[in-house]
Amino acid sequence: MVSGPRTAESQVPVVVTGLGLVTSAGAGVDSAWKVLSEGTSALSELTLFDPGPYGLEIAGESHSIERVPGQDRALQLLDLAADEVLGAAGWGDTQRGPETGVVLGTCQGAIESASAIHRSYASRPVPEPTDADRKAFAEYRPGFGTTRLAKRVGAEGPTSTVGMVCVSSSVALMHAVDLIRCGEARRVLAGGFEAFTQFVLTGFHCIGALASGPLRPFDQNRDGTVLAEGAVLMTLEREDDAIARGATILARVIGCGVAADAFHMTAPDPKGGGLERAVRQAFAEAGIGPADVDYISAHGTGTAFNDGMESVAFARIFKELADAGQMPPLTGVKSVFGHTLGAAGALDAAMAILAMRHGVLTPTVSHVAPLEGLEDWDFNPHQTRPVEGMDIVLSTNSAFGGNNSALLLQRAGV
Amino acid sequence: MSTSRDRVVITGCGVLSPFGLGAQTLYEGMLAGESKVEKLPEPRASLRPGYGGEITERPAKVIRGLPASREMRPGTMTRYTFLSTAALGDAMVNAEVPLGPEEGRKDQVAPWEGSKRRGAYIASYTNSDKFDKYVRFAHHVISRKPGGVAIDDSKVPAAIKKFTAFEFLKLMNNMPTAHAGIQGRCRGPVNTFLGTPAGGVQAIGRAFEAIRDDLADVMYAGGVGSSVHDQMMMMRATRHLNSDPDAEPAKAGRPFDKDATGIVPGEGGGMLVLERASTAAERGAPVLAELAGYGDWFKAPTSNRGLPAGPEGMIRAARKAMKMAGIEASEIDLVTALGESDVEVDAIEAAGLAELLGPRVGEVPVLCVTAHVGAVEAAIGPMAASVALMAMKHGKVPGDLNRENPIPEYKGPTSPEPRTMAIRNTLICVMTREGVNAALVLKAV
Repeated sequence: MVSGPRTAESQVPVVVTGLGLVTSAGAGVDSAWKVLSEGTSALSELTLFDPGPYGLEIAGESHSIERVPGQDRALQLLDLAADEVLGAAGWGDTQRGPETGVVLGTCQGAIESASAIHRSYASRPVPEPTDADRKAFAEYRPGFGTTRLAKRVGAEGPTSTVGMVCVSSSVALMHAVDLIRCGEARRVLAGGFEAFTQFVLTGFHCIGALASGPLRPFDQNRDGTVLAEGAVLMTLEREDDAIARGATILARVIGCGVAADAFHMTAPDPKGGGLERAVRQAFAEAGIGPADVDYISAHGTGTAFNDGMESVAFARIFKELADAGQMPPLTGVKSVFGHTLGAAGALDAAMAILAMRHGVLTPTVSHVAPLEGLEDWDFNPHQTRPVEGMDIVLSTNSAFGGNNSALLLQRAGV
Repeated sequence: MSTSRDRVVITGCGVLSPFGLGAQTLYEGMLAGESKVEKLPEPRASLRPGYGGEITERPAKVIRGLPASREMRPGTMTRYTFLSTAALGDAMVNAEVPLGPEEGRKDQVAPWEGSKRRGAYIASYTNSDKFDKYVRFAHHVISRKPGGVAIDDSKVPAAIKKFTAFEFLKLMNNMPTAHAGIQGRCRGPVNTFLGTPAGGVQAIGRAFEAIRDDLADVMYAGGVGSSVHDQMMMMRATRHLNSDPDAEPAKAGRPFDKDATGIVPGEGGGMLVLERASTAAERGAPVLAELAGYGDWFKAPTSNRGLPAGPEGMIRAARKAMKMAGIEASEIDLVTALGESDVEVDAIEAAGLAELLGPRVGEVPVLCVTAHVGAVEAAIGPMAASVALMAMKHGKVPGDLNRENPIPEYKGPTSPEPRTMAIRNTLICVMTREGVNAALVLKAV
């Protein structure tokens, strides 16, 4: 057990050795990267249910899976992502045991199936349970995906399910890094998953947070977010272990920060205080400063509150660079995939890793007119462009309730 | 400034239970051998088992340290968020966290000073008791058909009108933590752990690590749980896990007893205030105990009724915590256990305790909050820890309610009466059906 102040010098280096994901672009890392790097959109017409009452044109539905009676959609997504990441990382019997953990973030889980059964049971007389009832109720548990995945990979180390809404999966990744650094585990399978549910869509509709059209991060004409679904998993392990087993190192995690606004029950601090603290904590941990950041992958939900708060925080954090015309480019991948809620932070981080590996800056699609005062910022609105020396990426996320996260990733081989 | 091996101490504990507000209140109820498991009102009375340990009154006044602005009223919280804020407020008062009036308000709130070095980790199974408005929404649009469920699109527009933004927002799983951030002036690390009864112990353990890792000087950590609502009672009913509806409610919670018939619904919240020892000393805070060790271990459950695969995971979690605390089994004077009141699960847990404690198993009392208030999900660890802290303080351990005929696997002592004893170290153990096991070691100071 390691204890003591977390500094760049004292930390066990933690690396990412595998990615697995399902998004609105389809199953697999390649599908997502193709859509993102081509600067197109993975958003499409919603087929799971009638979008009419919500005034929706598009959504981030994954067409890689079908609605199968008796099977929970969120778990289907998780299984697909797990298939890919375990193969990509080369994890097998050697990784089973007490030194392996699983940490997942999610918002809702199998809520629709459970609700339908709830209705049956709320009617009197209470019916005798069927096997389907038992399965649905067992799977609805928010931690079910985590423990099922832990069983699948043979993990006996720490397992946790993080429920931090939009920062669930980024906090899950950071929690996983912490577990490795403090010696609780040598490797952790981490990420997040979220299925498209009518409950959440209705909630976002009621709070007026849904876009009437495309998701336009940091755009003057942004009018809301576009909900999506997906599952994103990463294998995180000690760098020395990864090297010893000859694993492909995709990126190194060099800094983590989580901070609360303590401002309002649901709304973000308009001054972005929590986000700034999270970013500065990540900087301190990595032993770097704003000038070392080559690219910012922002939360960028396309809502007035979030994007406003983020831009205020970034303006303060990167002020000197911005004043000197050296503000690092900033994009929002949700413009391509939609907002995957419990999977969003991990998806942003995964795309940032791919951008570093390919040496390109991916675009913020649908971005036309930057926010007032940010005309000089580089949102890369049109298409992917090659960049030299993209070595360090800052990936940030924020959530209802004023929870913020900041993750610093470094390109492998630097 | 922190030092690398600073100890972590517990300076406050807060509880909201069916006995009322306060760890002392719960402790005294347990000392008196009382049960708060009672018949539930209709319509839940017709759901199995029809009784439970419910917190029947939820007045705003029990919440301390939360600004009374519109969005902070208890009516705007789910049952889970109410439990966490009430328990946290109690813990803050207990820890003598200074609560002063905020400028322009009469509210008693914590100071902003030091807020960046304060954080909150809270565990909850979920954050809704009846899905609130969602259930209403779902009733309108979802129909059940052979082989699955279907959504009747024609009913959606009407259903949407019955759904409000606020009802949606308050259901978010991080709301207990979001409230704690405001209530405890926490601008440091925050996390919400979901999904298993071990979550409360995990939250405390991870908060302990956060202080040791110098991410914070003060952490508010604990868990909440409720299983007296429709959702959880139905969930258990489908798996035949609830206790016998014909049992006398006050005698239904029977940890490690042959006559136990299943899980008894309950609810509660428990929060601890953890502080770096040097920080606590600087402010002259009361120190209840040292949090000296933490461990967790996952062991995949068997498919048969979701039973734990065996006691191995629990034993390993406890041994990790003991190793970290630098103590042997011979130095443990008190154990708190889950004591689910399911004979098969209790047998596994009892076997684990026997192996853990070795020759001392017959001497070390095993304290079970569940006998008095029912199954409190993620609150079990924090509530048990709070009662243990009271027992350590007063040198008196509550008797073993409803444990007249112990199962053969249970080798521990049994006494209906409280025991007077000095307690050096307490082991807090939570074993779960989900396979997640977690343990803490509390050391007397």
